[in-house]
Amino acid sequence: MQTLLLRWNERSWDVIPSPQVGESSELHSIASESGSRDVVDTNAAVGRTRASAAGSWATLTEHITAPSYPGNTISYYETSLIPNDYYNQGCAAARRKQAGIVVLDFGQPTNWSATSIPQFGTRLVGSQLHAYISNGTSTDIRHLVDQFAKGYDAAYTGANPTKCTLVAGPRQGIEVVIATSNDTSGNNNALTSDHAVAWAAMIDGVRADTFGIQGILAQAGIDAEPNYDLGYTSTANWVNSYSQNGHTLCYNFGSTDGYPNLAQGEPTPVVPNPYGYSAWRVDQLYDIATGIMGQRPLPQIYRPKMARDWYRVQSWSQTRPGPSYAMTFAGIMSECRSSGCQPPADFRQEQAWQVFWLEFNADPNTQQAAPNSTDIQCSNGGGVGCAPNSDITP
Amino acid sequence: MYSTHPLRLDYEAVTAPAPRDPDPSGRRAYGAAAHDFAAGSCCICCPGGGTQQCGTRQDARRATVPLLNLTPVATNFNGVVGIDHYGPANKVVVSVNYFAGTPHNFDLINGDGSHSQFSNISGFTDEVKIATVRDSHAGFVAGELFTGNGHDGQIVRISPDGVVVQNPWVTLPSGSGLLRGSLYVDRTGVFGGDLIVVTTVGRVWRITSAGTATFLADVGVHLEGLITVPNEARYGPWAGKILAGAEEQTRIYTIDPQGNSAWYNLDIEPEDIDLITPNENFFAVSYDEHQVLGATADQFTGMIGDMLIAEEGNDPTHGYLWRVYWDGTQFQRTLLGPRKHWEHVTFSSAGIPPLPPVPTSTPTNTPTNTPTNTPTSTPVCVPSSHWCTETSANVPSAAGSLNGVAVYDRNERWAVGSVGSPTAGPQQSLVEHSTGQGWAVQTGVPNVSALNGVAKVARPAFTYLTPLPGLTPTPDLWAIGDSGIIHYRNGSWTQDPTGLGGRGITTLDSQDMYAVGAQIQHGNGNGWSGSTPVPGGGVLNGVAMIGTKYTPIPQAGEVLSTPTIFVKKDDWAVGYRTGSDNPSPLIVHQVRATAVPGIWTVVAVPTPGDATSAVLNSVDYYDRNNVWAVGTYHFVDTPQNEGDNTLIEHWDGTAWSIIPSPNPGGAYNSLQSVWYSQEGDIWAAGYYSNVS
Repeated sequence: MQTLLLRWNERSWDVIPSPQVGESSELHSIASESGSRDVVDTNAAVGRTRASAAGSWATLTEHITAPSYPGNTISYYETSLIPNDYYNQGCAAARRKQAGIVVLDFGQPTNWSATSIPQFGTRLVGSQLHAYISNGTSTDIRHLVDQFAKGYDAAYTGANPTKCTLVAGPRQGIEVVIATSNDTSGNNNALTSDHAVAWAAMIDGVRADTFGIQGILAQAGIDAEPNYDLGYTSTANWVNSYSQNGHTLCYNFGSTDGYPNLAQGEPTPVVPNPYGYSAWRVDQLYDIATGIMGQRPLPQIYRPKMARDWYRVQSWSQTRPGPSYAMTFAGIMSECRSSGCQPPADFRQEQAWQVFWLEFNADPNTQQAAPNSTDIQCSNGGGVGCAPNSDITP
Repeated sequence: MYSTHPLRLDYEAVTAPAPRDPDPSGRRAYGAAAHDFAAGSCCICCPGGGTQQCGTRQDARRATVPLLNLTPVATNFNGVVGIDHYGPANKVVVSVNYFAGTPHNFDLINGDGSHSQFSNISGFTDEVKIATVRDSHAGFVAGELFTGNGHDGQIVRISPDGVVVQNPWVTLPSGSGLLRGSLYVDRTGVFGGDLIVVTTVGRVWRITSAGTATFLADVGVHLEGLITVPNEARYGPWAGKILAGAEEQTRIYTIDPQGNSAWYNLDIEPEDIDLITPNENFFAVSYDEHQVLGATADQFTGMIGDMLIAEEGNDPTHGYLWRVYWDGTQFQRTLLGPRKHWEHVTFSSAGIPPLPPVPTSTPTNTPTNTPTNTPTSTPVCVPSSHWCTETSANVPSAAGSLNGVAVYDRNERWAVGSVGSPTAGPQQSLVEHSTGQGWAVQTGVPNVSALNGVAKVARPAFTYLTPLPGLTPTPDLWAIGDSGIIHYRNGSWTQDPTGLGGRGITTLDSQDMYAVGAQIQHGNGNGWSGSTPVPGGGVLNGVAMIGTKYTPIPQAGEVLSTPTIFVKKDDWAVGYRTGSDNPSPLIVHQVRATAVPGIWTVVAVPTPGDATSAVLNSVDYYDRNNVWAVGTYHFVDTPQNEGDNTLIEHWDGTAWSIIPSPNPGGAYNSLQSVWYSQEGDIWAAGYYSNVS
């Protein structure tokens, strides 16, 4: 006999490779901790094994071991328009020896103009401050990101030791993801093609400003979530426009907000998912994450189901009719420090990455390295919603 | 494994959407597909770009030969690029930490798939390619490594132990280009066993072990991928020559010992070129996935001596693994591997699970599935799934088996089973406990014969009960054996005198629980209330209580965070009917609004059309409309075709239906247990066999 492990992938049962020991081995029972975020390495399967056909049976225990965590960077829901705050963020990133993706999320896309001439910007999370994409002041987004880069650079050059002390050793590369969202709520929202054009120009400006700062590479990002834009069209317009006008990658660090809905013509699964469906179809989620040129997924993961929802997108993309492109996940984003890692369900940073990794790598068709992990926190130290004076300690 | 998704390989008709940019530094203007691969388009196979037809690209892409079964053997690399066989330890060596080469440049992949630093070399920049010496010859020592250091024309020589580093060992003339091209130690003898290098500006050199460099050719284009071809007729015009790839031109250049060059266009963008060697496993770097994949040696049967070419995939029509060979008239190619960002590849006798090591003396056919090892205290792991064995505990000189498990958290796990063999007298109860430091046999456990199941007093809904910081709830468990029920509370196991033996047990809380077997028993915390016959006549193996709405009872160390009053709902139990020679599946159900037992009734359950008997062993649920049961059925299709298959049934709130399930065993497949986590993760466990 050989051990047999199956796992339901929301549409069918998969065989999960399990260790075989001895001449024969069997599994008789399986369980995991229930009702907890500690889902990664609490599974246990038990049975028996024997070394030879003539030998005695011995007990057998197996479990999942957590994959080695690559560590995470710190990203920010930006709540401030103070240049020095960004300088300090860049300095801190260098001093922490962070490598990989750092998202600076400036919040909801907006048009602050009261006239027909748009003044595109964002509404910052929590503080609700009005930010401008590029209005030539020292507090527009372009210049705030420049300050981040200068702070990072200063850490390695020692150019300003009173503000940022020198860091020894080689520079670790950071992709600075300058991000907005697809939030269409409230007044002044501007999830539009023109906003994306302005966003692309701003990031080009940041790239020009930071040219020569070794280790800094500006990219775009969007927190694209179905519940922000139930109709999908505005999000698609923004992303398509950025794809056509931008010159960088655009990381989507959104969520699916439910189980990805059926693509047009896709048969209903034999067992419908019981957990609630996303407002977007699986093909729409795929396009925003990968299908539109330049988009790259960096999904928010803080519950097990969120990883499984993205697995559904990935596996669907491989079986769809017509051409498709493999989803290469840049990694994951956790929200531990901005949500406070609220027990019992929310993941800690390493759990988010480990659950995502296990979800995708148990299936040989969807294996992912997911090399990046970033945890987003409110720059003002606030908790959920980045409300200031929160009891969450950053 | 990729053959189930052939559409992934069909990019010829690409119109939209556009492909991904593999380079994070910016976007490449791929736009429309760069090539027209419509049927009838030419595949150039002649030197210098002649027009000889060799079949269409379309046909080749859709070749029906099986793709390699590629399995990740080592993962979580940072910037892995170069790879080669490392003879001294029969391992695989890779270059890592592209681009800066910090904190170190090289890793060895260990026999368990882990990888660890090799040598203290660091700071070699750009793509670091590796050439190792397989056998000592002409002043080269087996195990030596040659590489570039990221500087123009500089070649580094590294001793087999990685300690002695000659950096640079040889410096080619200024402007020669970087050694990110490739390096290769000639194994044919045609080039005297010299080190061959090709560079980023297209120059080709051969270097003796004494460091004497001889210029061979300059083809003027970035060369990457390198091999020397045996001087045998089977290789046609490539015999006795150097092969070097020019991925920018989709060309393969040949360079003979006199430095004469020619090129061939097979519409392949070579990133690396290898000869398929006998009795060696194949290893390939998948850069974007940060891992090394492997394929077993037996998959190359019939291809020995052919070329294997890997593509980096700079555009959507490339990025595959190809087999290339001379058919006596022209070069042919067949698709071997899926589209990825391949970097370098190698063949090696190293074994990295699940690939077994390949004896160098005798050919072997090796299995490709999960690792098989004799029982050992060393964990056996499957790299892809990360399932590992643990060191388990046994009573000395006695057979042991575990039949049930309950988990509070990673440091509080319990398993129950039996000691002794049923053929050698009565079995004894066995309880094991893990506190995160391995499993230990519990002593002082009352003997109720073989224990068949264990249930912890439930944490029913994840939002209701929260462990207090720093405190772990006191374990409270019930286990059922063939001849009784035992209870763990306050640190010791005791037998409940009111409990009868059975097969399965579950709890809703400390005052509401069921045990099943040849009868149904209800427990209220103060004892087990009599015995209810199984409706329909039969034996029940598993039971589940759906307490989606009720008031949980906090235990020590917990706080009730949502003080809502809920109502009990459904209970399910599964097993099999008796009364005939061939058992059939049995499912019974009750609905109740209080902790008082209700009336169990039989619910219709379908059986597979070819089943002659069936048994359900376990049941679990997510909510009232999502209940799963697993087991086994026996089928007889013809007198020559019978066996056992897995059986999985699902309740959707209205009826049970059969859900298709895998049967990896050719003769026998059985599921013993199903587990449905509160987060919706469903697992089933059992066993299978190919031996009837």
